[in-house]
Formats: sequence, structure tokens, C-alpha cells
Amino acid sequence: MNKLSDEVLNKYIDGELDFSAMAEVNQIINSSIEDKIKLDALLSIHKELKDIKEVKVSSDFTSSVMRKLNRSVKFKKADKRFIAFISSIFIVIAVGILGYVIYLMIPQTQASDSINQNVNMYVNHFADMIVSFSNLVNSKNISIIGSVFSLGLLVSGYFFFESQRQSKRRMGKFN
Amino acid sequence: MKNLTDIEIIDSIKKGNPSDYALLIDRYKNKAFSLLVRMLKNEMEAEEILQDCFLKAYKSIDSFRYEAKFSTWFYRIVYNTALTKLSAKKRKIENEMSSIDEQINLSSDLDYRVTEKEDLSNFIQKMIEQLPANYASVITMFYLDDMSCEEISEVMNVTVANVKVMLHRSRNVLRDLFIKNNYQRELL
Repeated sequence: MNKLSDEVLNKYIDGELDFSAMAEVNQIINSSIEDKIKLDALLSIHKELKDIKEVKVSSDFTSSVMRKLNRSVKFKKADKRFIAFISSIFIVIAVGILGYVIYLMIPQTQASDSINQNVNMYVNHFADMIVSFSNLVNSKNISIIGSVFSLGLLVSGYFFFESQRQSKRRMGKFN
Repeated sequence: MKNLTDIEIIDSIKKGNPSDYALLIDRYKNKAFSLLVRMLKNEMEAEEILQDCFLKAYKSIDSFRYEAKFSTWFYRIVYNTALTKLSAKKRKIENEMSSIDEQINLSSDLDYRVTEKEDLSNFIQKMIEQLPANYASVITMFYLDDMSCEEISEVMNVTVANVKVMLHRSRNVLRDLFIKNNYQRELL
């Protein structure tokens, strides 16, 4: 090791050299002014770098991020509530249709015991409700109900789209 | 409250206390900002990106699995977001990353910028800002954030050897400029 390489000098200041290599480096430094200057300069840079300053963000940074964060959470909750509301409407309709189909499939038999009688009573009540509902949804009213339902769907769809657009705009680039 | 560890704060957030996230923001905002400023070379842009990073981190806090330190995990978000921003700005960051294995001459790019004598610490600050994004990142994470080469390699998704190469080259460049500008006389 006649001349110290940059790699060795860097390892020296990082303490990555073993004892014998360290001793050898020290020996070369004592005999070579050029290497000593290089090492001293590197040590100075190392020392200065340890003291580099933080660059500070604006004073309202934290509150600004928290505001954005709360807004995004709030919008998320509102979106969830809206989706739950729309979903529940569809579920009610689906259950109604399913119930009616089951009513049509169940044979109208006389129940032999009291439990079956009770069950049949509830099924019959439910079936009556379904029949009333189906009477309501007859050919006369179906077009009116369909129109109202479509209109409701369009209006809710518009508001849903609008709320999404607004939340995206407020969140800026946040995806 | 401020003595809570990162993990305790994250647990509290996961349990439904989103306001505790402010503690994490306060803890890392300046260090992460320093990293971004040195990568992007623009304070306004850096602050905007940092806000996005904190929001992204909050959004994916449930995916934080405690396998790494929060700081490493968060810096990875910051570093990758900055890289995306840089590549969007067509700064050819990919060339910079591949240049690790090539012979580069950083000092010739930086040399001409040193025009007048100034305070040594200012000189160092200015030179770090002039370094390419990945070199500046290594220097910032190593010295300012006291991160080990292993942690930096995790953040940057490069090998530990590559991190050391970048660290040594950055130091060597700064040292050469230091000698060329006769700063060592101030120390004698």
C-alpha cells in the first residue's frame, strides 16, 4: 500500500478497516503530505456533512396536511353512506322479488301441526304483502314506477358523480 | 404524548385516533423535506410532494406491517414519489441510477459553479444541492437522518455496495472541490 486510494480513505473515516490496515494507513499518512492533505480534507468534509442543516417546511404544514386528511376522511364517510343507502334500496327490491318468487314456488298445503301453522301464517302474511306489492306494480303502474325509479337513479347518480368530482378537486393531486 | 414511539403512534392511529398522525408529521416533516428539496431542487414543489407523501402514507398505514422502521417505510414513499416526479419532468433519473456502475465525473459538472470564496458550511450546502438526485439523497439520509447504508439501500432499492459507492463518490467530489478552492487553509 504505497499510495492511499479514495476507497481506502473513505473506509478509514467510516471505521471499516481492520487494525493492521489502519496502522498501515497511519504510517503512509505520516510519510506522505499529499495523502495527509487528502485525508484531512475528507475528514473536514465528513465533519461538515454531519452538521448539515435541515431545510424547514412552512409553519402551517402540519395543520394543512391534517386539514386535507380530515377532508378526505369526511368525503370517504359520506361516499360510504351514500353507497350504503343506494345499496339498501336495491337489496329491499331484490328481497321483495325473491320473496314473491318463493311464494309462488311454495305449494299451498294444509299444515298438520301448530308450528307449521304459525310458519304458514307468517308466510301467508308475507305473501299477501308481496301480492299487494305486485298489484301495485301491475302493467298500469309499472311505467310510472319505472320512470320515478329511473329519475331517482339519475338524480342520485348525478349527485354521486358531483361529490366524487368535488372531493377529487379538493384533494388536488391526491389519488 | 410526544414521547410515544412511531409504532405506538401508528397503533393509536389504527385504533381510530387519526389526529395522532400529526405527531408523525411533526417528527419527519423537516427531514423528509430536506431530502425532497435536495432531490427536486425546488422548495415549493418539494412541499407539495411532501403533503402528498404524508397523505399517501396515511392512506396506506394499514399496509404497514412493522417489518421495517416507519422512517424507512415513509422515506421509501418519499423517495419513490420524488423519482416519479423527476421522471415526469424528464430529468433522466434512470441514467443517473445506471451511472453508478459507470465512471462519472461529478466534479467537472460542479467545478465551474464555485466562483467566490464563502463560508465552508454554505459551500457544502450549495454543493449538496448541486449533486444529482440519488447522490444528494444518499448524503442527506446518511448524514442528516443518521440512516445506515442498509436502511438507505432499502429506501432506494439498490444494493448496500451501490449506496457506499455513491456515498464515497459524493464525498470525494466535495473533497476535491474543497482542495481546489483552498478551503483546507481555513482549517490550518
